[in-house]
Amino acid sequence: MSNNGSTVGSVSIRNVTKIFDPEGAHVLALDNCSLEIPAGEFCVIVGPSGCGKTTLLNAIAGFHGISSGEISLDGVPICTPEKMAEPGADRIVVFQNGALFPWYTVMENVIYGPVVQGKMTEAEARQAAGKILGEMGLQGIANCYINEISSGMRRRVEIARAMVNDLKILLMDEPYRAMDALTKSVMHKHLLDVYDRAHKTIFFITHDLEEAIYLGSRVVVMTTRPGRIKKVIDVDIPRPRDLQVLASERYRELKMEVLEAVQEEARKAFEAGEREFA
Amino acid sequence: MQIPSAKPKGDAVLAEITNFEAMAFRLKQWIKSPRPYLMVAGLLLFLAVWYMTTELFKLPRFEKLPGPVAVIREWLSEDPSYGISIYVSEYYLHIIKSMMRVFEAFGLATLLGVPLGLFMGWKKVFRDYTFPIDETLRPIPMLAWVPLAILMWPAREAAIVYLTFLAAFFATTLNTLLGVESIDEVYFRAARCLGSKPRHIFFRVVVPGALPYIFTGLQISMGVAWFSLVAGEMLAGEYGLGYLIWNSFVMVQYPIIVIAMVTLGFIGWASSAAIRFVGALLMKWKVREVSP
Repeated sequence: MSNNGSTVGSVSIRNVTKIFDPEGAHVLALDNCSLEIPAGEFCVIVGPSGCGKTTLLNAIAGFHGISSGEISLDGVPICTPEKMAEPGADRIVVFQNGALFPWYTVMENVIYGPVVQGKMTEAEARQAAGKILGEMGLQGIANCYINEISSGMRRRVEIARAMVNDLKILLMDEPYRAMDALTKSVMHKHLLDVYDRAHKTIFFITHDLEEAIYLGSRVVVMTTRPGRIKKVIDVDIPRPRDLQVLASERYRELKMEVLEAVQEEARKAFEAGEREFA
Repeated sequence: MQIPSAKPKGDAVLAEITNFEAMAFRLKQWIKSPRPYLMVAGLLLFLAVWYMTTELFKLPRFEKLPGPVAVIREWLSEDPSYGISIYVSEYYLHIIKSMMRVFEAFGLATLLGVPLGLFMGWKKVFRDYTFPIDETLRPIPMLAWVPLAILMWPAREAAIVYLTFLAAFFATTLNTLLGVESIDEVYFRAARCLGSKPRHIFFRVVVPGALPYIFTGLQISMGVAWFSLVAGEMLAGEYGLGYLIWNSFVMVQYPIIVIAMVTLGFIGWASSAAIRFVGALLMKWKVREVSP
């Protein structure tokens, strides 16, 4: 099965468990999680705070290992309990608070990947970056430093910096969390355009259920800690999507479905938190 | 390191004009504000108090100190009574000698301290080796090193430079280490995601990320270098501003003490300004960040 006509970037998460500090506090962050993400799917993960969403993303990205199970990319195991994944340009992360290098200009940030990987000369990388920045309407800020541009632009540049590489999956960790509603809606449209154009698998973490349904092909609801996959909801709203989607009957039904699943977990998380403080 | 940016020429010219205009605007605002007038008033007030206490009323404890009139007269005299003024080449010889010593010591401290600090911050193993020694030696006041410095370097010149170097070296190393530690982990992760090898992380994340702290360290290092230099020159100098101060005290040539002190103040200020200037050139991203 593939979305978007893409043939690379399928991720298979099988029985993944992650225990932090197994000798001491023994915090079970992920408990036997299994999820198949077909190539080219826009997969959105929702769940209460601390449910292990970012833990899962970090394991795929190669920032930490897992305690049991296996994660494969296009059928090749990349992360097992014995060997954590090596971070690489086939799985690029867009971080929650942004990670553009402030000491480089927008252009220097975007060409970073291809140049350090030795895949392009600097001139070639500039050409490729110029094309991507142009497609994203960012050519005017190529020579600006990161502190000179708005947070919305920074997110778009970070996506451009990822897309200029030969990546298989884009990992996004609540990238629009701190944004106002207006900027967010511009960001959503932009990301949908990028997705429709690039045919890449996207693994997207969010707390925002509306965002989840508007963007995702599937919404995966995780339980409160220890994180398990509670429910997987297919979002059968056709693409390309625009703001009209938000007014449709199907959107409302799906939102209700996700909301019910999440609310139960949010209540459990809240009660667990209350107990912790009591 | 900085990837050279291929800015179109037109843009560069535009940026220059904008920068120049921005500078002119800021200067205009500054002149309109009360700040420059308060600064001048503060300076005049200081001179007035100095004049009244030492020369006009000759208050107890101040009566032996040279007053501003005596100092300025000596400083600007073509035929100075104590042999030091802006017209005498010996004055410049003292300045140049001190500057050369600071330059050598500061240069060596930067060449050794910055790479050491970068490695200590970057590689934990390296840090574990060096940090305890560094932390034990760093708090020892420079004057305590004098006997060992003289034992190690029987030539006076080398001993003075060595003392100056030591002070500058610890300040540079520690600040560089703090600079690397201040870099957000997320940049290292991003760099690894984008396919960086260790050398790319070192030159493209560790070095530029630590630069703001490195330059703070260099400013502190320059300050302590002058401090140690003057102490060293007082003890074992033959030339230099520290020597001039001490020698003038011994020879009862009091106005020269103040001339040398004020000269030190100016040169110290100029050397800090030079470091800030180089820092601003290397960290354009920081300069633009703070500009309105």
